[in-house]
Amino acid sequence: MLADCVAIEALQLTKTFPKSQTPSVDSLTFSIAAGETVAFLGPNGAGKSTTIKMLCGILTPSHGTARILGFKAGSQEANQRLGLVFGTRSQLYQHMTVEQCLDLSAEIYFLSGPAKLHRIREMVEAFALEPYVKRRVRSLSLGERMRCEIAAALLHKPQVLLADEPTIGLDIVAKNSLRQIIRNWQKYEKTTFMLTSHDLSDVEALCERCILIDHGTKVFDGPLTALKGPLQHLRRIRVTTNDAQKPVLTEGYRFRLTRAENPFSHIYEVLTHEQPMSESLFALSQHYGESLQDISISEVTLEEVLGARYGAS
Amino acid sequence: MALLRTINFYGRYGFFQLKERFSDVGQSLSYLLLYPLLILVLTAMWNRFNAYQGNYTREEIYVYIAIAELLFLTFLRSAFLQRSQADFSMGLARPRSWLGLTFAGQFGATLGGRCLYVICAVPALLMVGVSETLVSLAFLRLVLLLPILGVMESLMASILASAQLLWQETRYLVLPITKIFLALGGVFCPLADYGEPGRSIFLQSPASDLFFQVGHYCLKGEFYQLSGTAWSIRIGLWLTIFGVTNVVFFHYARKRHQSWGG
Repeated sequence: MLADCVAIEALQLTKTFPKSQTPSVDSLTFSIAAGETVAFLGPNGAGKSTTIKMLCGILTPSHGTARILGFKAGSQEANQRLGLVFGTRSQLYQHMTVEQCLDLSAEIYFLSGPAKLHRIREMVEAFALEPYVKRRVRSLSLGERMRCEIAAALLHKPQVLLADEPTIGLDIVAKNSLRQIIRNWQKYEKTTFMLTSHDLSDVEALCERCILIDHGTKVFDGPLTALKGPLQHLRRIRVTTNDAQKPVLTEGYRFRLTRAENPFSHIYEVLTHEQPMSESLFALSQHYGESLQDISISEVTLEEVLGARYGAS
Repeated sequence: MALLRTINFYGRYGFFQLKERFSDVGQSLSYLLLYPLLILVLTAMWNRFNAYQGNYTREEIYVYIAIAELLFLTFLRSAFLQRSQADFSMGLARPRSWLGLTFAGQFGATLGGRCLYVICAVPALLMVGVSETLVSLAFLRLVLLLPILGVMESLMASILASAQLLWQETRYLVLPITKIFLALGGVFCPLADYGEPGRSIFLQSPASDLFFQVGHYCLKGEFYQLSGTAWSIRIGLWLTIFGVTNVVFFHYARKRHQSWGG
């Protein structure tokens, strides 16, 4: 049966808000298999949040259908199987303790008795919430609160987790910690995970597949590596030299771009399938000789890829 | 069985809201301690102006003010309405009804809060010399009426929460509404001691049924110029009106919610 393997399904999903000439989401069709981790990306106003809200039943589509594990989005059956995290909207009660909030979240999703207590203990352990459980939510930092939010969203063992900007406003340490926890949890529980985030390092850390939308329509659907296209072979080599007179190497090698960042730092871009890295590094070490201080190599980031795509559109 | 579990959940949610309302221990204690002081001050004021010429004895005024203030202090709260409104979107994505949660939350917090105030009021009134019989009878009658009053106010709270989704500006109405109930309901002083034509007009309002008539019934064991049946019919009518308004407002709030993106 299709519903057995398809966790999220959107068929010709369309949403037109009243007083708006153009649809915010236009005939969007995609499906996400159970256990997949998918990033749902797009520039501001592309229709990401509107789609997420239609998938979880907050908004009703103007046309088309959305299904969660075969159930109509927004139905009680679908809602029971769905976990939600909105980075900009708290599900916790500021004046209550984390423990009380987790207890309430569990009850909202029909968990009770020993099963509820067991599950709360499990989540407290998995999300390292022990130091906070007795603290009031208002006394937590944003990072601590987001961990509690995600724990609350996963309490009822949802088969599908929709996360809208879960790391918004977090510092790099909190982000890394949260990503690590989500990644471990996703592997452990095999939850289908759909993420929207403007922080593409979240996407790279958590997702394998990406759906890119713009102006409400799908412009890309595939693995993250494919999103980078030919740019996945691009490497950026930064050379630091102690000789300010040393010119940039321009001839004889297939560097895609060369430029001097400053007299002591030069940048080269190379496509590794056109010119192997060993060849590039050999050429550069020959050229700079003893003036070579340092070499660093980096891949093109998802931000750059999307920036180029958005810019083009 | 499923129904019992549902009732149990909403009961627990109501208790959760009560705990949330009183979660700031310092603030809650100061409210509970100020309450007896409020009874003393308002009773002194009323007795000063009325000079015991009204329908109530000095002791009865103490009890009346205690009851009316107790009802008013636990009346609609903007903070709760705002939270309910903020939870509306998430409520649509959860397997429990938003309307049910709003109603149960308000009901639990109101009823529980009132019970706490009753616990404060009884010793305070006994200490100022009100007779045990009057206090025990009045508060026994009050406790019997509290659930139905809680239902009525919870319906009003859900209407206001839905209204805020329909028209944001209605959040500014919460304060005027509570003030209108304060004035028309006879919270500061019993409507029976008002002059005409104000008294006859005010007696027709739901504020009178919620505050003054309740206070009067608790003191005298009967409603003012109204039989028990007539009061029950009036309350039943208000409940029906509020119930229908609730459903209509919720329906339109849900519909309108679609137009601004959730």
